[in-house]
Amino acid sequence: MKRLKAKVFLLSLIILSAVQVLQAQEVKPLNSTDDIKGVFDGTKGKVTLLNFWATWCKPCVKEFPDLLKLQKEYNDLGFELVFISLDAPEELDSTLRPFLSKQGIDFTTYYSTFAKPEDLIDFVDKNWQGAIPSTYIYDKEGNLSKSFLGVKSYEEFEKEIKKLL
Amino acid sequence: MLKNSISTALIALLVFSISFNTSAKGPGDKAEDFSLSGTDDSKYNLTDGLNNSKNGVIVIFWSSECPWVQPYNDRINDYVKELNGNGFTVWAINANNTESIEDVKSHAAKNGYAFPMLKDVNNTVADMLGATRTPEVFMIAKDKTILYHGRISDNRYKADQSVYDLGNAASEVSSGKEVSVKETKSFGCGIKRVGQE
Repeated sequence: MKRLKAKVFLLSLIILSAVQVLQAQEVKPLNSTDDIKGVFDGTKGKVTLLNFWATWCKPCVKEFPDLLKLQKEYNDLGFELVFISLDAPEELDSTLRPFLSKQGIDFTTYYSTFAKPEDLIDFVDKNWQGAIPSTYIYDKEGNLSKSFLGVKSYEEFEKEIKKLL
Repeated sequence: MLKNSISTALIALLVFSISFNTSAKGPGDKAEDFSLSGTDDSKYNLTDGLNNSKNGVIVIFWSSECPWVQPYNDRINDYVKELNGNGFTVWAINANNTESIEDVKSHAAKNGYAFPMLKDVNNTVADMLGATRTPEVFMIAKDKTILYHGRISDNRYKADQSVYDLGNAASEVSSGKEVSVKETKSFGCGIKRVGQE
């Protein structure tokens, strides 16, 4: 009986861990400007860093750990990190999910499925031509505070975030 | 006091000049002359290229690595042939500091590009035009006015492409019409400039 209880307990733990892993790796598609508005609605009241990236973009991958470090350091203080991947949707399971899993992502991330990428580009920043990595920092009211084109350091991002927290 | 004011004004002017020189050029703006070496070791000069073309020069910022560029390898030679037929000289420019001349040369040979591949070693031309990504197109008229700026087409994959913006713009110019869609956007790989990792 004791053995059975132990087995049930172990099985429950395994199932729970699997559910947590699945939740941790939730990657949602963004198909329209309404979808991205929904993401912004969810970050209201928080300083938000929006980062456009892709697994094949070397500079993006280079700054990825720094962005994760910011999330770990400042999430409890009202900071939210939002990743939007521009990997091809058909590479979601073969490339994107494994990469995010390897990075130990434990929050929801997004990938673009916009039929017209220019709609997403213009929604975020009319002056942006679409090059990545591209990063946008918003204040707690959702106003754009700073934009960065190209790879930046942890310190450069942190400086802007600290100002807004 | 006056000295300080003049210094402040000069600094402000300098900052303005720097930002002006590096801002993106778009339709209606004038390109400045440039000369670059090609992977074929020839020199390419904008003024000469314009003088030798019927309608102008098209420059496409290119990359040997970018996944938004590579899908065009299956049709870029056909496009260039068509653009040449519409009176345009076409040059691809590689301004990525992460791609050596040897890499670019080898990639061009491997893909059999039937157009010159120029190396913008110090990003001079990318900075002059304000190019930020690959692929990114600038169509330059004979008087150096930019007629079209943006993407090659609305989709990097031929099967999913419905609008060939660059081709449409070239056809319009060739027919003596004004370009109807002068500027478009698309995602692309950021140009890795000198000093950037």
